[in-house]
Amino acid sequence: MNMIEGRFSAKLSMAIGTICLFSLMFIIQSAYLRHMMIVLLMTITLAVSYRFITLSGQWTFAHYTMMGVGAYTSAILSTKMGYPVWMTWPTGIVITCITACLLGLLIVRTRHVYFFFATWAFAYVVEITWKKLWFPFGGFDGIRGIPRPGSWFNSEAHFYYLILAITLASLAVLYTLEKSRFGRTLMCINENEDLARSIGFNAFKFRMLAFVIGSAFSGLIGCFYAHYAGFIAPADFDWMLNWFIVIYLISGGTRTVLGPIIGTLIFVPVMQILAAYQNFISIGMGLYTIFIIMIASDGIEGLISRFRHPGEVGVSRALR
Amino acid sequence: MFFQVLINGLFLTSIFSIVALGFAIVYGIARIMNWAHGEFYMLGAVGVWLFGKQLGLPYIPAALISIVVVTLIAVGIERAMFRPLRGLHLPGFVASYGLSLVLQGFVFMAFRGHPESFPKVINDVLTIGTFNIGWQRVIIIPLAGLCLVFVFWFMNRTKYGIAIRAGIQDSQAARLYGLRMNTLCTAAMALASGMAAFAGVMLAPLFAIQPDMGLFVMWNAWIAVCLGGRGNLRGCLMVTAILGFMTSFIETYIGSYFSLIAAAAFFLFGLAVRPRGLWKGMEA
Amino acid sequence: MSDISFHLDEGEILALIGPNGAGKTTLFNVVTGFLPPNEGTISFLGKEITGRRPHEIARMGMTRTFQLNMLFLSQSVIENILLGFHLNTSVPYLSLNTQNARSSMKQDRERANEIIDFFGLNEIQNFQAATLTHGQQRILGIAIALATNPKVLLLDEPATGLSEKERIFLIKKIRQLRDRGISIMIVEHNMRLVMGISERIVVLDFGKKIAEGSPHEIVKNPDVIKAYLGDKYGNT
Repeated sequence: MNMIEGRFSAKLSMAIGTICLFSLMFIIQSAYLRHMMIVLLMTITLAVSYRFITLSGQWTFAHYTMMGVGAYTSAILSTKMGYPVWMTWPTGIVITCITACLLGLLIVRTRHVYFFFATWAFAYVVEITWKKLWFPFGGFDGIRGIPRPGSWFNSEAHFYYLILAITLASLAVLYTLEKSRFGRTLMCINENEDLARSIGFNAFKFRMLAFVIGSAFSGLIGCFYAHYAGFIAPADFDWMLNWFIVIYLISGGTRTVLGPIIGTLIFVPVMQILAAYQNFISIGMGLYTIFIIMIASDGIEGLISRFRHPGEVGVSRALR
Repeated sequence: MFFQVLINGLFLTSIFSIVALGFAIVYGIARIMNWAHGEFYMLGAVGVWLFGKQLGLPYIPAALISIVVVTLIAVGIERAMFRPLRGLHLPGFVASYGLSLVLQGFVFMAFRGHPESFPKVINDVLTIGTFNIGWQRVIIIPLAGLCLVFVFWFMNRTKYGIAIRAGIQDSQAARLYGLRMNTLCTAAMALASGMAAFAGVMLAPLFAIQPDMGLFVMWNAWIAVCLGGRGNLRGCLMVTAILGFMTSFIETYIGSYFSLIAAAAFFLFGLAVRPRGLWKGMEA
Repeated sequence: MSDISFHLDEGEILALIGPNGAGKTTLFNVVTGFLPPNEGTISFLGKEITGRRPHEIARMGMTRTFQLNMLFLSQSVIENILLGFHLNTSVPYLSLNTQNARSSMKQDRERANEIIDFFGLNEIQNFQAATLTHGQQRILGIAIALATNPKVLLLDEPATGLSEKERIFLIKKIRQLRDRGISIMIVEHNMRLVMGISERIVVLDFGKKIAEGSPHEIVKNPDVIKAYLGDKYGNT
């Protein structure tokens, strides 16, 4: 009886929460704040999908780059070739998956830092390609005049509803995947790959899948962003952003899905506020990175759990 | 054209190899990939600019002071930051990237946004047939060669060097024989940062001195160490040679913006072929 | 390793012995696909498996254990064993808590309980693997391998660090596994275990096979004695 009640009250609170989130638009009227909320939701989806990839032990430095792949694909198809949004978005996601697949084939067999740096190398190559090729990427200026997803989207609020729906759906899917047998398999492979292989798990296949699935969500957000902002440029997917998302994740913690959400909720507003002080951002970020690695590489979640269960012997999965 | 590619290739290989070798040694023994290694190179150049141009010292004393200062800074950083993170690959790298941001940020603020320059020390030009190249460039090749010879002498004939090699091969066994990893790692860092600063000092008259000048060298050094295999110093040097000549070729015939991409592509395909490095490294 | 050629018959227990560094674990690594061989072929159940990858070989029915304790340390004993069922479970990958998924999970639980009973791990079945004693971890390693329902089990030094009592238990269990129809190949140092349990022995030294035969023959073989004890005793 209790379990059913428990499940019911969880679903009830989720339903109430969802209604609240949707109705925020009635409270928040300022365009700037609405834009912030949209960016926040986009980043949450990116962070959670990034964390999904890290379940298999792979830390990528190309998550925003994959977002860019999705964005550029959808932008090019809709501006230069005039395809409607309902066709360009799926294509954008598919192209992102294919890109992740090709990259993965090259590098999924590597570990840890090598993988990280390899994705960095890839991110760099792609960024230069976008910047240098006037056709079809528009060089430094990027692509303009990207149409809205539909004529209904004539205010920030409508975009907000869309991204909220996307984010909630993505969180649901990613959470389910993680808790399912697939997710547990990923974590096993991460924990002890040789053992996993010796009992029949195809480590390569699973790690590829994790990488491609995570990148697919990135591509989806990219498609949304392109049609929300109306114009995209290589600077929108700058490699520093790839770095920032790592910081959000480490700060929040990677133990559960909440970690990246917490990290994002703290940092995105902070970054917006500090946007004027560019130089100090890099030094500040640098110092903060060093601090967080040395003191609290579990992130906030880790701190909370250490606070609640002092002395517990756990296997900290952060960053290993 | 051919001579240009050749000499430039040797020149680039020289720079890459000094920086990469130091980086490889630190990675080998402390198992930390220190992205801020490129910043030691940058600080070397900044140092010689500071002591030479700003404070008026002649080139060689300014260079020596700069190398010493950078080494001391690096050793301090090693004790504060890298010692606790020893052996943890990814956290070590992430923290080192943070460090690199900090160092670059400070220099950027100090320079107030403009790159600086250092005047050439040697103004003569070497002429081979119709091809000219400044001696300032060419002289780096033998100087780097000397540096490499010194390093190999150090690693093979001195107590510390042999101890470091032992530590790279098997840190547990080294401990059992009484070698202190702390001392070895500090010594390795001192050597590596000294080498990087030496490269920076040599290159100050040639390249623009700016906060991100380390990127170009570090990128290639990193690839060299990854593909060479952990602890495999010869492998690392071979990859630097490949990268040096490849970069030179590309810069001459295609354009310098493409060289980092080519290196990245080389790296990605090298990894695909051999995920643990093109030559046999010691398993981390 | 060079010039090694031998076979494992169905339902027999074969021991692979040799001094340290003879290449025994390397042989295991090659046979199970963790290392590719430069030359030669390996075949299993009539099919060639040279160069195949470990997970494919596990699918075909050959599973190995490791010299060092290889476990999923953060999971409990029963969870470790359940993971071994990966190859032959009907729990779907995207288990959405449907009726189907739940009954498959129940089936897996029952099979896991069977293995737990077999190895006597009942009392510790919910303990985290990292908290087990060395002996218990060793047994758990074999239990996980057994969960894959192998036809051939390769045990890499299963008795290292076990007490006398635990070793006797291990011998009993290995014999029972053989009686169930699983063919077993053991790498071992402990001669008492080897003599007590194996039907045939293959001896390696410096990466080459130097002898093969029944325990009686091996004990008297001068090459074997020389390999273990050195020249002085070789001509006794």
